[in-house]
Amino acid sequence: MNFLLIIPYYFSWHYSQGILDYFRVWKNLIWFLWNFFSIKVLLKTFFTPFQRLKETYSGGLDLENFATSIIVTNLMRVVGVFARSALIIFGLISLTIFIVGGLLGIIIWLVLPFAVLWLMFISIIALIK
Amino acid sequence: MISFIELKHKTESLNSIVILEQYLNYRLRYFLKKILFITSTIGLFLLLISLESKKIPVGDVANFFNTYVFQIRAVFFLVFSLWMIVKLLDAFFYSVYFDTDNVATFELARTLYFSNPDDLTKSFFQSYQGKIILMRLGIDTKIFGEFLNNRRETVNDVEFEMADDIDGFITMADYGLALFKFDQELQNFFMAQGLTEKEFVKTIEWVKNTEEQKISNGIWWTREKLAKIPSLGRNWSFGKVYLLEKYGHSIYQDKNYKYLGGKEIIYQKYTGELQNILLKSEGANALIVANTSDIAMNVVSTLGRVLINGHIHSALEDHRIFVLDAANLIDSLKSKIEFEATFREILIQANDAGNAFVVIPRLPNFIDSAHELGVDVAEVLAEFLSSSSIQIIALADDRGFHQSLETNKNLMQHFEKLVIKKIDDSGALNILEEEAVRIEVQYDIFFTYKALEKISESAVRYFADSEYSDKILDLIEEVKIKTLTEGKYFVTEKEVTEVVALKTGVPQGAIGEGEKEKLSGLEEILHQRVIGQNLAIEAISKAIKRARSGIQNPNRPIGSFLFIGPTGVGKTETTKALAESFFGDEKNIVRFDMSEYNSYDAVEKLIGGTEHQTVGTLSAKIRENQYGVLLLDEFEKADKKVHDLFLQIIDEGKFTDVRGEEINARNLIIIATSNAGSDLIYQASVNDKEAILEKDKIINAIIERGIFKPELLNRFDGVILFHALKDEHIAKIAKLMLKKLEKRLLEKGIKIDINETMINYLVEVGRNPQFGARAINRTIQDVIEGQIAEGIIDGKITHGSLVKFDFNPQSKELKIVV
Repeated sequence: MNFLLIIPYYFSWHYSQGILDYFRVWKNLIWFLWNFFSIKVLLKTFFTPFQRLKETYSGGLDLENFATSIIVTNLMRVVGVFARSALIIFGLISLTIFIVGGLLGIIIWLVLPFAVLWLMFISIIALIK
Repeated sequence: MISFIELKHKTESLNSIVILEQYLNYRLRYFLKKILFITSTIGLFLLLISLESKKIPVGDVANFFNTYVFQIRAVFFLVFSLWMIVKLLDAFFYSVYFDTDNVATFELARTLYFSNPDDLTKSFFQSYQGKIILMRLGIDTKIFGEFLNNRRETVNDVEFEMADDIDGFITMADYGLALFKFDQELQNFFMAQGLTEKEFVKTIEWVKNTEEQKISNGIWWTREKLAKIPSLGRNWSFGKVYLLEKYGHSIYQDKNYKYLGGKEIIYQKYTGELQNILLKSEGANALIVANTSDIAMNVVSTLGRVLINGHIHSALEDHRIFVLDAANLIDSLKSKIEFEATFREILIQANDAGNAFVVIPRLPNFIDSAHELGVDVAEVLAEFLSSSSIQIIALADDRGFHQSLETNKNLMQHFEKLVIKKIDDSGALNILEEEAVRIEVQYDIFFTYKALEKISESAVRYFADSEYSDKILDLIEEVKIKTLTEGKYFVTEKEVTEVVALKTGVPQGAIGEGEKEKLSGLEEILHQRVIGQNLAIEAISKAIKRARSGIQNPNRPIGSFLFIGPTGVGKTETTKALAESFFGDEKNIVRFDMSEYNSYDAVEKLIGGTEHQTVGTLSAKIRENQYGVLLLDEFEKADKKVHDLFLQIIDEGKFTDVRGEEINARNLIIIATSNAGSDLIYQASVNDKEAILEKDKIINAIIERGIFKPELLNRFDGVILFHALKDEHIAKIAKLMLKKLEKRLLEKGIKIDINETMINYLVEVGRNPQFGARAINRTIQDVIEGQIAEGIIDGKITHGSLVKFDFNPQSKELKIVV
């Protein structure tokens, strides 16, 4: 059957280009997580007030206004630092899990074709019995 | 040159997935994946229950799971492993399909793999994509089948060869083109079907792109796809832009971005320059000037694409691009104060946000519209333009830029200009191609390539005043609605021409039966209204037939004629008859008395004046009536500069008014009339010569007298001579006019006896060379209608009266006899 011709093609792909593709996709996903948790932006703007919310102080000798401005702005800074820290930590944990998982995944990738065939084989045997 | 065998060799690396697709194509895989995933999920659920079956309180159910625990496990693992196999085959397919080492596309590989070496043309059109290509070309499969069976020769793999000069992938389009060039019979067949080589290639490309798009939809793991997932917390560090979201939208929601497709390649080099402008430390605002603002917007959309793909300069990567919807802003805010405050607030929010690029499309128009509200946009903008936390990307077309921005030094100092060279946006049809596929997914209709081409063509020719992409999208939408309401499936050129004809009133496309009759009998139709002037009518009819057959130059008016002849010989009547037969109504005439345009400022009157910003009469009237007859009476009396203006209009089919706006005159029949040289024409008729035979002499005399320049006369499709009327013609005209009067009187219940005496009298009057047939009309009004009117008022003529006229030899006048 012509269809069976695919098998050698497939296996040669799985252990050559397939592995390269695996790493490429893995790299893309790491990039995605890094991006998804906005780690770089959050670090760069770590002390920026949350959503840039602030009281604008118009200058002059208005002490009350001046104080409000400082308090609100710094409060928002603190909120921002907390929120960002939480997200950065969560992001880094996810990234670590993914990177380690991806390394283990390569072992799975290597045995996958045989594992799948073996699984199919034993389940058919089990059903026949 | 490469042979077929060599070509096939180049596609060999794709054969593995060609075989895969043969037995398990991606649509089938898609469904298998779904079904197997659902069943393995159910299996997993059952498996988990069976593992805990001891805890199940219902005895029977617990027994069931106890008994069949092994089978449940086996089924789950079987289904799961099958699912994995399909998934792996999918990964294999995508990897090989998009492998950058490929030198040819998958579709070509598939076509070549299954090609019958003895008949490559047939194999091409019987391939998976070949069949779709045939449908897109609008070719009936039955007719094509007959063609295939009746060929004298076929192209085989030994003789076939194609040029080896293709950069990048070899595609179906390259192979199809090579086959087309090789197969003379195929060329002849396509020609007979009205299809060109270019249309064939473009159709293949369209089919190929659509298929590739479908396949790439199955991939989610590329950076581009992943980048579209919005990230968390990114906006925590930047302010909100509520108002910009209300009166605008993100670039990714913009129509232009949606249709960018493969066009980004054209614009990529400009995004580099745009980034450099935006990277400046302060006042980094860009003004993109292009020949249309659509093209300027394409540059911004390409920047959006670069941004989302993460290939942007790191200093710009957290930016967001917002497009201000200026029209919406102006429409919703009616007062000056409200508008100014909102616009300022939008800019303040964008400024505070710290990462917004604000795109203002069509800045010159925005400035103008705001100016009508009394707001000086430039002044408001100036407050923000030197800020480093807001960046404005303004767009303008060439015309708008030169008209209202270039001279505004205060505003321009804040912008760095990015000029886009005149781009032949050959990707313009891509918009239609994508939209057509989008419509096809939703509705049960199918577009042929010719239909899209016709939409694009018509948009340019008939709807010249709005943005190209708007025009074509409007038009395809209307075509869609018409096709759906008529319950049709195929959208061909015919469906498009019908919509265009309905919208413009200009007859389009293949000539219908009724119209065919009308055209072939055009001379007779014109003769029903115009007496005599056989040669003139013949010349006009020929020109009109030429226009309607579609062989005329599309970059000129439908027709242009100079009617020369004495007064009252049928020039205006011919014009009216022409308007009626070509545009369906004699009222479709825009008339200019050119004797009013003989002063030094005549051109200014016609196309508008710079000094007072007046609108030109010609520009205004043509803009209102784009489809019809433009009648220029007494053309010889106009200023020489006006002659030069029309020389250009006839030559190019368009002109630019004072505001720099292009006005389309390609849907007009231009008729200039003149009685220059009518003394010679009259003389010829006195000497009993056919004036038409003296045409050269008369025209030479007109040139010698300096009335018209020879180059102007040469521009007209025809200089038509109207001879002076002979007695027999005048008699016919008189009779025709009296018949009209008879009809009007009958409506009032009064009869009139039209006799020889009356006609002879009118012929005598109409012989006057100065007035021609016009004198007859006047006499009928003054003498005949006048006396009837008196009779009615006196009560002598009442309902049922019969009116007669007799000639009174003493007073030499017609006298009424009731």
